Amino acid sequence: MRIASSARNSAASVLPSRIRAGTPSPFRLSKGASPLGQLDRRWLWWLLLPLGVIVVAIVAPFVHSGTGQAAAGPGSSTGQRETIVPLADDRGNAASLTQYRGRVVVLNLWASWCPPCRAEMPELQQFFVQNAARGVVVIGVNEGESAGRASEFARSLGITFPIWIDDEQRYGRVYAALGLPTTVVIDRAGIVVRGFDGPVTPADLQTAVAGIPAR
Amino acid sequence: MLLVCATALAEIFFPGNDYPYHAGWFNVAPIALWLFAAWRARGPLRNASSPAAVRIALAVAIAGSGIVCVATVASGLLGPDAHTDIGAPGQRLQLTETGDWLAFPLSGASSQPPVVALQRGSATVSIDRTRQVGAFVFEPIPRNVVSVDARDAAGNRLTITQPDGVSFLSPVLLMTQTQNISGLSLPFDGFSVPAAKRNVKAVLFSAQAAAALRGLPPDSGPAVLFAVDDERGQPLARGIALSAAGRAVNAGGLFLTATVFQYPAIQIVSAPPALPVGLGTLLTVAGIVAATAWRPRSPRAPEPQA
Repeated sequence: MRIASSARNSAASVLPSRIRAGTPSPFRLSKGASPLGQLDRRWLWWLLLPLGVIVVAIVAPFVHSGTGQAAAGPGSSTGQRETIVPLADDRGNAASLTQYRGRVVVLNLWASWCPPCRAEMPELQQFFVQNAARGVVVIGVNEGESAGRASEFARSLGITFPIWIDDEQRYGRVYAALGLPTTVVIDRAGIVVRGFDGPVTPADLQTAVAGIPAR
Repeated sequence: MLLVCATALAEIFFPGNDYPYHAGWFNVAPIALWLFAAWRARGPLRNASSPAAVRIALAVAIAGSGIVCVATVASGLLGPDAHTDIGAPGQRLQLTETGDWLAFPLSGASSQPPVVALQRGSATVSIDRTRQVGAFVFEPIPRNVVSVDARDAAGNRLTITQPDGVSFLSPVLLMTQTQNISGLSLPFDGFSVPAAKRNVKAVLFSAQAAAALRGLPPDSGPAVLFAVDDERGQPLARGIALSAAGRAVNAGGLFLTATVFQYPAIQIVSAPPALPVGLGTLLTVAGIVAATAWRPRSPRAPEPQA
């Protein structure tokens, strides 16, 4: 105890006087002195600080652990740029979202075997007619069926908005569809602003579209 | 000290599941090595007769190897276990480790080898080969997947869904499960055809396994066995058929075509971050070189007095 205490006293009495004398470098040592044993404690703290920062910087990336999780539903696409998938419409003409740049696009994924899709189609048609003048377009993207079947289904319901044929169901994967119908609202700049899983009402769409600045 | 650096560098340059990087002893080893090195260096450090430059060089080497040791142990103990993320073409997976996204390309059977992209904010890193990004090593692992086309008797294409798959609306089966058939462990997956009220199991036979099957021409490549059930899960008469070489087969009233192609999964392995490991290794090597190469200056000859 006495030895340790005297060593502390000796260190405290030597280094502060050197610092006061204008030689603040911790590495400037008297001949034969141990470079670590006689460092002023303040210098040790200053040395430990960057080491501590380095340790924290190394450890921090590992703190959050886990595995990859699939994007959870079409809502997870919000804020993402639209994905351009070249498709064909039900008449066989080339169709792409690039044709609608500058307009608000309501992309509705559907299939003829899906009862909720059938139920919401007339409301989508009504929404399309009411909002066409505002630069809003509804596009029905048929997922995985033949053009003939999709066209026949749309005609039977009096649909006049564009019907696209996504035979490889690519939009369903891109927008993380959890089921059908799935609807995505894309603003004039091509950014997804809302994603809906399941049937949407005209009121839902009006709310989504209302937040998008006019042309 | 150099061995401590070697353990970290091995993890970075030879990443993967096949190595014992996340075993307990591999994390104890760098600590033990570093403590041993620090203990051995204690003598020269305390020895008042050792030159100050040598002692400082040793301290630098110990600090450098200490940084590498912390990085290695943090990666081994705190990093997630190595795992493989499997995504459908067009799907995005969020990495909960970092919040970054893995974007699986839409390209499928007919295009160039697909490359998964790692999206970090506005920056994108292509995982076209093994890449270390931050504290993780990403490696593309090609896997055999199956693209399915389902049609009715009139030739109309039918929607394929995967209620239990990683992507609901995907006609690409990722074959993530295995099933034992005749002693062979074979990848299999399942899908539904809601329009026809059918549930289908698909078992993938490699080209080698397919060659052993009867009824297939030699060199027909991999084959897919379809087993079609009704919506209640009851097997259907004539509900089993084998599709090879992109040939459509009739099973349970469905005309099914399977195309087998390679699509990457991404293996993610935590690894010591390159920056501290590089910095620490540099300090270690520099300290050791300086400590061993240091020679005391020869004392100046006294100047002759006038």
